Amino acid sequence: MTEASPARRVLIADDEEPARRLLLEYLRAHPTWTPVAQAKNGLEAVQLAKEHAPELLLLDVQMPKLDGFEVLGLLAPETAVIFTTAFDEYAIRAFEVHAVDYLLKPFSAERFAQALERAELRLGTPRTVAAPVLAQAARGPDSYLERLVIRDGAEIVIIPIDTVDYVQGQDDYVEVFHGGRSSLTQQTLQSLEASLDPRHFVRVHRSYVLNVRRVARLEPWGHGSKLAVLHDGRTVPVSRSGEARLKAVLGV
Amino acid sequence: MHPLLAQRRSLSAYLLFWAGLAVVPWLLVRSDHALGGGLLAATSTLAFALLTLSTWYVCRALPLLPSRIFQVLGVQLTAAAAWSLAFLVLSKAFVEVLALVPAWQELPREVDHAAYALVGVGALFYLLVASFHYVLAELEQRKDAVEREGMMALHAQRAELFALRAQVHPHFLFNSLNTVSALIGYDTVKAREACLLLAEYLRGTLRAQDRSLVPLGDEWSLSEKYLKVEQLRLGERLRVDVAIDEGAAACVVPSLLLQPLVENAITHGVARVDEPEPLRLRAQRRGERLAIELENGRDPAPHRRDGGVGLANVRARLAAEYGNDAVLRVEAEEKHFKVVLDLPARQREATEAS
Repeated sequence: MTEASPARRVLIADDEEPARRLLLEYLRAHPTWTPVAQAKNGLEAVQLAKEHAPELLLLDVQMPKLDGFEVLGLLAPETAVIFTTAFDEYAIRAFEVHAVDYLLKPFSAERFAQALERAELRLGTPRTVAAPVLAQAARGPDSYLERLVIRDGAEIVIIPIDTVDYVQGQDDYVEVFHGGRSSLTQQTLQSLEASLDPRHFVRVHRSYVLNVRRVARLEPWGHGSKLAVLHDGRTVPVSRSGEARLKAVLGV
Repeated sequence: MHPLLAQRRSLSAYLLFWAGLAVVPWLLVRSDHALGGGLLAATSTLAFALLTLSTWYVCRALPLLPSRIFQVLGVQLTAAAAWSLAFLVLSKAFVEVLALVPAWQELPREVDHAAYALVGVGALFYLLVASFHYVLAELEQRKDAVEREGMMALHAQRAELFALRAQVHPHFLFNSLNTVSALIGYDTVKAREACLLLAEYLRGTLRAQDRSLVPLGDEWSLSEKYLKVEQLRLGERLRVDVAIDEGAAACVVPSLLLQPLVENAITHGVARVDEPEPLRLRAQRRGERLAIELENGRDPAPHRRDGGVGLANVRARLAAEYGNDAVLRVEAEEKHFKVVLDLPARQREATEAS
């Protein structure tokens, strides 16, 4: 008699019903892995992962609301992740964010079993991926961030980058001000700045990155520094070197 | 054929030029009879100019290349020697004819006096002809090069347009195969249906690639096959709401024009949103114009600003087919994406000749 293995909780995240049913079918051959829930989009995947704390997430890359890499960025690092996708161009990024495996659709039951074996070996080893690497993986190579996905308490906030007014750095956190509200995320200002389009976002101060399209005017503010006044009347401090960078981008 | 013989105006200019040069032998012969000497100089010079047009073939056979410079010099100097004698012979032959005029009986003697000078003139004339032909050969070669470049550009454009045609996207195939693989596990009837739909769509695409213009109705029925395959994968999320009026269905459009737009609507629209939002197609014939609208829902805060390639391809194909007479307009709202096409309404009969 074989040794009884503890049940492993598996969460399935795929927006296509046939794909989810295929994973369920393949999982039936592995009774130690128990599917606990199925997510139809990225946001559901994050919520269900929080609710069920699965050991393994079978994660599709292209899904509505949040894509697979954005989901991974919001997961507890203990959750092992196997990507499932028809696209082979994400393989390197999947490896960079320490995914257990990368299954190219369509895949066989044998290949799936192999991935589960790998997951078994990796259980209990948390993924340790630096936030900038995750951010880079989420946005893909050669492109700037188009949206920020931030966990704000129980809520997941998706912030289109155009709606960001400015970002304030505070130690390991940044506070993102967007459309009259603000959200905190654990990231450094440098790493966030690096993923923003430099034609629109400028480091105007040691602790501030500003969306140049929001600036109404600059006012003097003592000691050679300035104050950027935004269209809605809020103000952001601008250092002397920050002013030079801002003017370079604005072309004045 | 000699390029000058192909163009009457160039030939006239060439002969006019040589008529002017006839003044050289005329001066050298120093005839007491200005008219007779002039006539002689003119006839022999023009005859020489016409006969030496054959140099064109020598120059073409022996291009002026640095590596063959000695060969060129050898051949051309030999030719110059031969042609200089020919010039003298020509002059002597003509002068015998002219001497039949009683007043000009002295002419042959005057030519004999100037024989060496005439040989020299013949040599110089020949070198002038040879230089002229080398310049001509170079110009012709450039013209050929430009033409060839033009042809190549045309071929490249055609090849590009061919490449711009919608081709079966590999990811569509992989996703569809995954759907079939899944269906085999729980709905074999549907799995078989999926295989058949997929085959129909692929065959339709292959067929469409051999055709340049197709009726809009045919073009849409191909897209419908594609959508049926996608429906198996996307289920309830994909609903199609289509209205093509009869006049519009009969109009011809470049084949596979709609397909990239429909694929865009699925991959960047329908597949990225959860809430079912129908894919709407409207096509109407309004007099001489054909209006097509394709609308789909989209993610208000997209993860990436991709797409655009498909639209650019469709624009390029419209420009190739209709020039400035077709417009593709995009109306992008927060949750909706609409592509509007405005093309000339053409019936099959009118285009079959082209």
